[in-house]
Amino acid sequence: MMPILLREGALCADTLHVVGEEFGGVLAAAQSGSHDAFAVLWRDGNPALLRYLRVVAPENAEDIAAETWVQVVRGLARFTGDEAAWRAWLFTTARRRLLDQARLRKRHPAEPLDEISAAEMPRTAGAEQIAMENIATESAMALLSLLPEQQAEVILLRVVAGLDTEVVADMLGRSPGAVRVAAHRGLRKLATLLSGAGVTL
Amino acid sequence: MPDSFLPPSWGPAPFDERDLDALLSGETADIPFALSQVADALTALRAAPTQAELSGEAVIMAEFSAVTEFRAAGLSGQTTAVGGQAHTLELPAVQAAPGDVARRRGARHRSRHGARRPLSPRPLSSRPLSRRAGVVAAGAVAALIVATAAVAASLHGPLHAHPRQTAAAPSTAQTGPHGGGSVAARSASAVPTSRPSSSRAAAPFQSHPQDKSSKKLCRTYFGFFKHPGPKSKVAAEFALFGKLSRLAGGPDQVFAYCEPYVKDMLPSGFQWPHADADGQQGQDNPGPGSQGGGKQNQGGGGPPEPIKSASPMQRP
Repeated sequence: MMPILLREGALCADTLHVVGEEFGGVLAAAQSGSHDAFAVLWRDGNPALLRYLRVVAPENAEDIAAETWVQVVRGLARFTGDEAAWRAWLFTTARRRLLDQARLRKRHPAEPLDEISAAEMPRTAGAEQIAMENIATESAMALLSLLPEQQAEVILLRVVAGLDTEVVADMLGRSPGAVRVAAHRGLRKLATLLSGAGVTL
Repeated sequence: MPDSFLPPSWGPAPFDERDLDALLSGETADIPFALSQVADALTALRAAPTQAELSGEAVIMAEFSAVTEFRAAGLSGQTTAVGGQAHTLELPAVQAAPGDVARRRGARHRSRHGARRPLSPRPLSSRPLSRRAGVVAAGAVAALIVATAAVAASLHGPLHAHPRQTAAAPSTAQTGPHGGGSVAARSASAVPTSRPSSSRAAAPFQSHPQDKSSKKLCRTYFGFFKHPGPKSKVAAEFALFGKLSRLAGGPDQVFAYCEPYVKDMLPSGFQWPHADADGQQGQDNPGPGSQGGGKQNQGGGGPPEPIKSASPMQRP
């Protein structure tokens, strides 16, 4: 099995509650047309959104994220709620787009293009550095991809999106107890996977 | 058979569900050692954003600018209709008349059997409205049927007496009812008289012969003969004749009563049968019952015979 590389000191960084108590003001400014305020909301939500989508829909995560944000921009003026409600709305919208994409792919299956070799991939100056920074997160996401789909989705919505059990249950159309059981089973399986793999911190 | 008879683990479980809940909530303190690696993995999932995850900001900000400009230009409604949460343009609800409801139902029926409709969400508020309107329309139809039945029941006597007097024998009042008539005809009085209540109701009309409603009733009734409709209209014709009988003071007086209103509906040269003082039709103008089996507008020289078909009982 591929060794899992986790970054030391990752505890200090967090994707949750980036905006914090100022969320109400930021949201109001964004709804009134402030680019800076909306940029704050986007920077807060997009990384978590992408991490969620890269696990549940690795083929077209970026496309779904872009569609989600377009929907969010167009419905932003009508949104009311706190930061938790904002995240719930964002991930609910993403999940709907995800289901739409799945239906679309079922109706119109697309053939993948030829594989691009690593030598032909576009390179930037800090590509290696970026790759090294991301490796812990990418490894964790790869680890989650080994879980059953529903368990992985529940863990991502609870951990990455920071949603409560009730909100996740409502989003997935299941009972809170079922969501809790799925999350616990996923964590137990993660523990089993990690104990059997060579983990480098 | 298992490799070992010993249980897979000894001692208490390394962690319980409370530890898992704490892990999901982001608490990293007091996490059992067995879950430390899982905690690190989850923390890596929450790690700070990378440059790749923030690279698409320009695209979404351009979309945000476009929407903001739309909204500033007062086109927020169009923006909402183009995208956003609502895919359907919501129109203000209009209280639909029963006719409109029937028309709308027809269109839905056609579309269901024709081209398949797209799965666009319809405003939910319109569904209860159409159901309510349908219930109201059904109630109105039921009330109309009950009212028609009540009117027909109240006119039972005059309606059945009239044909015997007009179609069978012009001198019914003198000779009495025929023995071979129907039970209804036998039970009806030879000389139909208006009921006290109906005469009271007819009084205002009689005091105003030029009343518009009288004209309308007469023209509608004679319109049945000018443009014979389906058999389903016979009941309405009965009811109308009974109403006119009450207004005119008897079935014999209907033609005289309606004469001023329906002159233009009849061919030129047509002679009206006027009732004499005894309620009998004049001998020079044969009464309706005295006509044979001729048809309306039959023959070339003679006058048409609308009176023959003036009796609702003789209509097919």
